[in-house]
Amino acid sequence: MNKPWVKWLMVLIGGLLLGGGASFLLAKQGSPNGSNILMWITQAFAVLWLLWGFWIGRNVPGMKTVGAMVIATLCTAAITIPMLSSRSYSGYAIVMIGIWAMAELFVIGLWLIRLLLSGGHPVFGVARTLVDEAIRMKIALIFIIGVVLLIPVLPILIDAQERLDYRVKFFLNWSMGGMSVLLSLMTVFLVCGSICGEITRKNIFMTMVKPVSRIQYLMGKWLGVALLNMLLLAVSGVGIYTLTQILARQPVSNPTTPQIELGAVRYEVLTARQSAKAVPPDGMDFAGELQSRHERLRRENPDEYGERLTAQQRKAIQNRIIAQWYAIGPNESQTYVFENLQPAVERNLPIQLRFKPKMSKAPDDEMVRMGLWINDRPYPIYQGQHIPTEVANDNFHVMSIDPAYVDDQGKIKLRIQNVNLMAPEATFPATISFSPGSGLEMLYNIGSFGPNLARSLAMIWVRLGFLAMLGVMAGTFLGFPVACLLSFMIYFAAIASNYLKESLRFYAGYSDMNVNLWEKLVLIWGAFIGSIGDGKYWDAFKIVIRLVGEMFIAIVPEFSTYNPTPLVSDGRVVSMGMLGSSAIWVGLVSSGFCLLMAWIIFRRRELAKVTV
Amino acid sequence: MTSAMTSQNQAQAVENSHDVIRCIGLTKIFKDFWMRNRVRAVDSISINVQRGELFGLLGPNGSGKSTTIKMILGLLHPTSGRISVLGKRPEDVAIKKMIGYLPEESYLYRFLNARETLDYYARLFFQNRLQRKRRVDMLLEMVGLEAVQRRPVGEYSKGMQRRIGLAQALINDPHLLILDEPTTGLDPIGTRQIKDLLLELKSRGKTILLCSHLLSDVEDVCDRVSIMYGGKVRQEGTVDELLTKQEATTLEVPGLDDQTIEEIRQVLAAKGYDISRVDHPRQKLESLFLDIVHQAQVEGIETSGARAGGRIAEFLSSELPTASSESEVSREQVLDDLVKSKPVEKVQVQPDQPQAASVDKAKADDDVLASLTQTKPTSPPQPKPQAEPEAQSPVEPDQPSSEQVDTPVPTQPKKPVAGDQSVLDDLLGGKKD
Repeated sequence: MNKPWVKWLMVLIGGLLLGGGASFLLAKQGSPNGSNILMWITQAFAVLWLLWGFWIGRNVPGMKTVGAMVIATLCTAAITIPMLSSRSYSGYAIVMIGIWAMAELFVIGLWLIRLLLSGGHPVFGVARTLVDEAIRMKIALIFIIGVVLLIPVLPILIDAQERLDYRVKFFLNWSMGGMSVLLSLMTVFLVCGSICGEITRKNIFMTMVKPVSRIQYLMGKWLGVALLNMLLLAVSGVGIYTLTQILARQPVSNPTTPQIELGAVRYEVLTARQSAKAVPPDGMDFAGELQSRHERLRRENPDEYGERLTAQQRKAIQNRIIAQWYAIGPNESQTYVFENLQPAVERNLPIQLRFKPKMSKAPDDEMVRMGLWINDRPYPIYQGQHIPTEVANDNFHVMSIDPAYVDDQGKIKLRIQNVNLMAPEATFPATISFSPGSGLEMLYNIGSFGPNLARSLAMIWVRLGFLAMLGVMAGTFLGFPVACLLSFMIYFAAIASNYLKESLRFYAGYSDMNVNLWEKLVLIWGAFIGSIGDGKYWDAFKIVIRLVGEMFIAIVPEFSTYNPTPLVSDGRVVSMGMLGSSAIWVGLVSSGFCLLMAWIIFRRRELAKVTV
Repeated sequence: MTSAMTSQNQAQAVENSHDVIRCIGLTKIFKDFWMRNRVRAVDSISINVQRGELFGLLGPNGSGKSTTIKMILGLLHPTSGRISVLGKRPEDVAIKKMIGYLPEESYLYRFLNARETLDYYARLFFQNRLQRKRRVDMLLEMVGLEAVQRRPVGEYSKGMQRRIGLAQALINDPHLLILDEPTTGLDPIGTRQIKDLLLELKSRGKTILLCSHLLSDVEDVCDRVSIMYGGKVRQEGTVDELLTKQEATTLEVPGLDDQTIEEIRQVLAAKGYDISRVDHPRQKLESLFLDIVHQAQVEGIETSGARAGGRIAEFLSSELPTASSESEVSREQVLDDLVKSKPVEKVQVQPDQPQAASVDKAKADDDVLASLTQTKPTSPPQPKPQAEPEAQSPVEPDQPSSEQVDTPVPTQPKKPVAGDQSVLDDLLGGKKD
């Protein structure tokens, strides 16, 4: 009974009972104002007494954190509750609540991580110290604060006049992209800073003279940053999900047709859609077409084309056939079949036809006019009339299709006719083409937004895990600035691997389409010698640069395949297959390679070495 | 054990050795950026540290002490030569479980507090939560940092960081303790505590390698020392072997008047000796300082720094057999009784015939001592304590009024001075087991 907290609790309970009881009595005696005043006084007393309790117990471990959380909650409630009732300030209130919620979640998550790492094992010990370093040293804390602030602040930066679905897409794109960038920076700075800093400041001496193997030390560093990333992604995920739901309930930009924007948000953004690519109808004979083209080419150029096609020649001919199949000449039509659409029927949700037509010679009004037939029936039909589809040239367009069109085999047959009849005097015959693949596709719902977001965050975590391992590897043999630079260089090369490949191809001009590695090497050598012979030394130098660049890109993982942000913001599914594939290739193979390299470098490194 | 040994012989010697640390022909050359040999930090040294020994590695700055220690710990690889630590290679992770290390500077995490720091190092030894809590509590009490355990280590003074560094070195109850300049930055209380702690740990059978350039530290506690200079071992041996001046004798007796001194002089003159110096011993500055701090603590003056350390952490195990421990206790008791004597006057006797044969000299010394002791009333001779072979004179150790004859015995290793420790514990308000 002499313990201070017991006395404190008794006073609190006594005060509440007294104030509450007196307030109740006053209310019963017909004095509501007195009752309300007394209730306010009692509440104020409870809050002050609570704060006093935190003050007297400030030396109890964890009490300061709990106190700060409670105070933050009280302050947020006190500020935001009046703001929420005001229409002009409610947005700011949501931002404040978002920051508060994410910060509190982060603190709770941090406790959980510490609990998880409380075991007596060197890997846990090293990991936990890294987590402590992250939240107590400025280098990582800045990025953590950045993540916690970025997501709630983004909604107030979005133009409220924009279409609602664009607003939600913008938020998803920027919040996930920004979060990825901030966490990438934090990961590299934290892990490189920790390892390089420990070697420079010699903290590592004290750890490595304990029974800690070098691999345990490296794994501990990785585990610490991986858990921290997991926590920040989880907190951000909750923030993104909540704010997306709030944004989706905001007023639409055009109140006269709210269903268009609301429908787009629901069926095109906050969803998980699978893409069905066009395949040829049953009657089309691709193999026969390939055969006839081969024979024709063989007649024209018997030296180059033999009896059997090489793999490269076959691929080149196939690409040409597919490109031609996606092109529709003037007044001609082409049929495309989309398969495996049963999930759309089961869910009874609209299917989106997404297409980007491009005319070889656009008319003056830059409009493309097509006639569509679905399952051999004109589409769309308005008041009994087949309405031609008229859309802007070289832009993506989405048409909603009723799932009832899907036949028993789960297919939709789409016929597109190139019609130039609407403005005959202004148009002339031109071919309409679609990029093979994404230029013409049908999207159908197979899941909901929440799990899709969770899978995409998991994929980002795998990528960050690779980055952390890259940082660990760089930290084992480089100083802090160089280790960071190397990590970022490899990371960004991995992200932009496709773009870099294309850029390098244009940078130094020699054609290497459809050649194997040996042919390519011969080609490079020939181009190099040719440039030297012609006195074009700069060109020869560029060929060397391209070779080095291509070798570099060959060893970095192709992250562009595993980028979930554009998928999520476009309402496309991040499937478990993609996640599993990223976990294997990025998480196990690439990260494992980095760990192996780090171990080989670090296992025999003289930590106390001095270069004189 | 010279550098001329063949590599094969060296390997065999290491394998057959029962030494805790054995270095043979150890050399470390630091290279420059172009991999050219630049600095020969350690030059073909051979050291062996035996089980239960307190070994001092002494030398000026840059003599190669820390480099040697880092090679022993596996933080550096020797350019040539071999090292065996607890019978294994220094890189072997398994042996690290038995080693405690305090580096020359406390390379601690600035963002962790004292408790978190010790908890972290305890985790590295696979200790569970309860074990960690128990040991951390004891060590914090032992090094006197209980009151400031929640402050980040980065805010600590250098001395406080040394204390926490020492605590982390003991977290695993090590068999082998390697301390690099352990008293640097410590106040006299801390220095004294460390020295007492080292003796206590040694009495518990721990092997300690102490590296220092503070001569008094090494002299006070070490059994054997190796003196290094320029990366080479210049001299090695027990402290007494290296320091005892066989050609002089010191007698300590209660304060004498001039007449008594004159009488002694005459007795010695009759035997052919002359007194070269007569003076009064001064109190050491360390004792004075400790008295002042003790007084301040009695008056209850507050401090935000480290407090007086407590008793030695209980988990630090004794590696000696029980009989030995009892023997230690009895010896400590004897020493305790001995140091209860009153302040004495120091008389240094200088022989005027240093060339005399050693046997005759010893007999003559006995005669002198006998004649001296007959000049004052004494109790009947007491049996000498079994554990104290150095008490070879007929003086009675338990009689405060009697004279003590300090005849150094070179081969006798130093023992923890229980009397000193009890004084310290009393002074610091600490408890003693």
